[in-house]
Amino acid sequence: MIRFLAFVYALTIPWLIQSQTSYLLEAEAFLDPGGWSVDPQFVQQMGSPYLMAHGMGRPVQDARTEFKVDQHGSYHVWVRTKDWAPGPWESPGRFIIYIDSIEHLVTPVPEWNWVYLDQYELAEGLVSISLRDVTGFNARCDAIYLSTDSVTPPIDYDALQVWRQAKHREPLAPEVEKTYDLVITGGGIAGCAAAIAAAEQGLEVALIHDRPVLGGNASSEIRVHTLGIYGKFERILRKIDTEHYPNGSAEAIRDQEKRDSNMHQYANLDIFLNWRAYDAVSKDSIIQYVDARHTSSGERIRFKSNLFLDSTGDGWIGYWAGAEYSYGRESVYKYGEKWPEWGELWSPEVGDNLVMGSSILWQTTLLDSATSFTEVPWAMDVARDHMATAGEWYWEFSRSDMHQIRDGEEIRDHLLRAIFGSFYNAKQDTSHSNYALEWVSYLLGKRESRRLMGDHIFTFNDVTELRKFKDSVVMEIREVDVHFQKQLDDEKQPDFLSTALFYKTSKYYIPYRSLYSRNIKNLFMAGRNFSCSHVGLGGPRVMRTTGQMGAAVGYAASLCKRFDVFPRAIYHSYLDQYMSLIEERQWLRP
Amino acid sequence: MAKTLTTILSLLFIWTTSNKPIHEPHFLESPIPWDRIDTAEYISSFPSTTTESDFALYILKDQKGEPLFFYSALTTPVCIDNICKPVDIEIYWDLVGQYIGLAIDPEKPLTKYDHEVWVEEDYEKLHALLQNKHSILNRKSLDNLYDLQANREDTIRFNGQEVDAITGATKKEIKAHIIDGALYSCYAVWQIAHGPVRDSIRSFIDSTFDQIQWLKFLYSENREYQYKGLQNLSDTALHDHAARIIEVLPQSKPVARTYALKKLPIPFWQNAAFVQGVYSNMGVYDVFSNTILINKLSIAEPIGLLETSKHISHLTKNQLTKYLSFIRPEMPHYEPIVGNLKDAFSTSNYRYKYLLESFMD
Repeated sequence: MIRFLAFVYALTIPWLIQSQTSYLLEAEAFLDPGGWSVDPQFVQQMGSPYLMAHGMGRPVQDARTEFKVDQHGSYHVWVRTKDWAPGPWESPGRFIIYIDSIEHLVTPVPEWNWVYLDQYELAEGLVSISLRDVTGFNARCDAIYLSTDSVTPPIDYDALQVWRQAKHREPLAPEVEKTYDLVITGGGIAGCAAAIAAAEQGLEVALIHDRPVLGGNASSEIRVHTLGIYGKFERILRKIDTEHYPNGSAEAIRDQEKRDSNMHQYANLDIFLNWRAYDAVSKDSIIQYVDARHTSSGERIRFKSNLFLDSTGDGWIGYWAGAEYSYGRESVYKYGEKWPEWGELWSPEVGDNLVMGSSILWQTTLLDSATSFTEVPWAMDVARDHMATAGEWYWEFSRSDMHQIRDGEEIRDHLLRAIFGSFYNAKQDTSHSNYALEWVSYLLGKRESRRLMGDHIFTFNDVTELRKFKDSVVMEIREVDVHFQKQLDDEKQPDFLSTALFYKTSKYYIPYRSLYSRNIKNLFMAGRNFSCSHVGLGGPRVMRTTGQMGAAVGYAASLCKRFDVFPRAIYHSYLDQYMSLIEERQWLRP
Repeated sequence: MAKTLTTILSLLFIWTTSNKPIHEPHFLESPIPWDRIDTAEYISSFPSTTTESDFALYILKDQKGEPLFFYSALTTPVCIDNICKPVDIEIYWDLVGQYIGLAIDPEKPLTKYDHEVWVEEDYEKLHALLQNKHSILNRKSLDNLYDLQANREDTIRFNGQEVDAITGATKKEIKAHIIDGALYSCYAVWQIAHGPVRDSIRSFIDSTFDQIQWLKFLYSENREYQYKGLQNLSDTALHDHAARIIEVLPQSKPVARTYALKKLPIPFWQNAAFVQGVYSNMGVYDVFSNTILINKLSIAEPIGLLETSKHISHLTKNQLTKYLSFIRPEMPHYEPIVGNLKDAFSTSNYRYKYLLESFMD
């Protein structure tokens, strides 16, 4: 039966395209990924989702697929993979590939690259391919290429994309188009809140999210608890937020179930899970569409709308569409965000590219008996002598030579090395004999990346002066906390730990004008990519606050549709109606 | 008239000297001996955010009038549930407002809530607590801390450790910061030592210290003072003391070093001796500083490229990639640079040597 399905699959799906002499097999489209995870986080940097063996030290189950060889021949075989921890040790990214019964150990090389295996005789008919994890430590496979030609596939990103498209015989544009009143990209708390608010107001809404579960940093895959207040959106936010368990807790799974259940209550809300946007095109400063691709099958859809929300966190929609954005720490003189107590650590005299870092949360469990943890020599130059049996928010990594988006994969891998190495150190102490790794996320929990610029740029001064705006739609009382790497203040500290500086405050407000782009007419933004300065982001980046932003955008979108206007007009011409709508909706019974 | 003036001056003298600390500190993190203190000059009063008291702040000077420390003798009631007890403690700060030590009147030792007198270990713990400017006491409310001390019933276990449900901070972490039975004293004193007094000290030195004093800071062995000097010296003064900056940078904390490297104006980078001096220390600098130096190579004298090539194995992937993008065959020092790169490739276990290999190919 499996063979039959595989045969049908091989014949029908566009993702497994065959020419007479070559076959490109995308690993994320394998029939059975086994214990390997589909990782789409770094598509924009390395070109594709890939399979990763995230076994926390225990090899995961084999991934397996089949494809049909049309023509008997001698095929050269390449695997696109990466040695994620290069150095003078055996790579943790080793794995074995089976082509039918032929076994080949894949030793990856630094950076994403094609590793040549050998030349194999393949007979006409179905061929089985399996990936066998060797180490349990994050081996990765993007694709397998078999060709009777001996020319190595392209390495360069752009050339590879073109080559890939040709191999898959993809038309330039997606063949499927869908049209909505509002297209939301990014299903974190902000995107979910926006979807609920807009759907409740009757809009036809698309919510595109590149993971199998909603919630972003609050999801069961990343497990950061939601902080902040509900503002005027308690009814909506309670459907999607979390309890206040410790970061990393498995209790996140219970809140995930609540969120998933609540998000699927709206007939006019189409949720596209495992779809990742890869382009947005604007004309005359108006976004025409967003293109997205399924992270496993490779299918594509073009999403059209008059209104778009960028809640991707990284500001991708705005970035592709040409929205103005900022990145890094502004000079203290730019907005006057000085806090003398902390000086350079708070807001530097000369601006730079240093931002708050990303985290990987992790959890251990105590077993009834002792358990071992294998040596991880490739992790020790990061962990050094640090030992730990648990992580928290301050396991955070940022460096001024690294970009939180462009270098995201290396940042994630650095944190994995920090975790595995620190846990290995802890295990050398007999008091930790019974500890075992229970869960380590492989998804980056980002704090800061691109910040799209709106008509109002929210800054620290809006907090210190407790400014009220006639379009105040978000409010918060939680401290403003800006993080910095501990090493900046004490070079003896590990480079993966951070400290937070807390500015205690009374209630402050964020205006609606920070939630739409100043130069792309039909673009809203909510979440950490809203319009703010680096220090301004310090407070409202927590997820109940970003959820407020999302809900406020959802209501604004409904008025945009009713009056057939773009977001800016809500502030200039329909503000009373907008503020009244928010006020009225907050008193509805759950 | 002269007699009146003399009387005033005498009174003033008595007033200033009478406030000189009389109890030798338990702890004083300074190379300056306590007995060098000669006078105490009143500066201002500062409020406490936790005890609703105001305290007098003094600057302590030596015989020559050189400022040494800031100082305040605190006598404050610390209250919980309307039961108050006095806390008498003397606090020392350095000239940039960092807590550095404390003294206790032997007649008035600190006591815990069960009236037990503090032992030496408790003072040591308090001193360590006060030295931590990022203490958990800064970010947690007193109520939360009180709950933890009271063995709250809803304490949950996580990763085998008891956890404070508010922030995820472990009880172990909090206990490490607080003396058993003296939570409120610890909290109140930490808040005083790290509260508005730091603004008072900052305001005072910023308004009264001049370029001469900042220059002394630059030449001090105290790296916080060096940092403050770098922040306050004029470009001209910095230029005149470029050699000292080269000496100071390797000793600096990364935050101070990066501040200086970012701030130094273009003429510094066009001074070959300065560039050589600064880049020759890349092997001891932090990653943040080296990133700045790599970026400055576009405006720095070419000797910077040569010096960097001697420290290749300290560079990150992105730093190395950027560095290699600057290397051109027609540039000065090209041959020795390539020679150093080859050495790094052939003799080290450098993680990114594969980038060197592709460069040399």
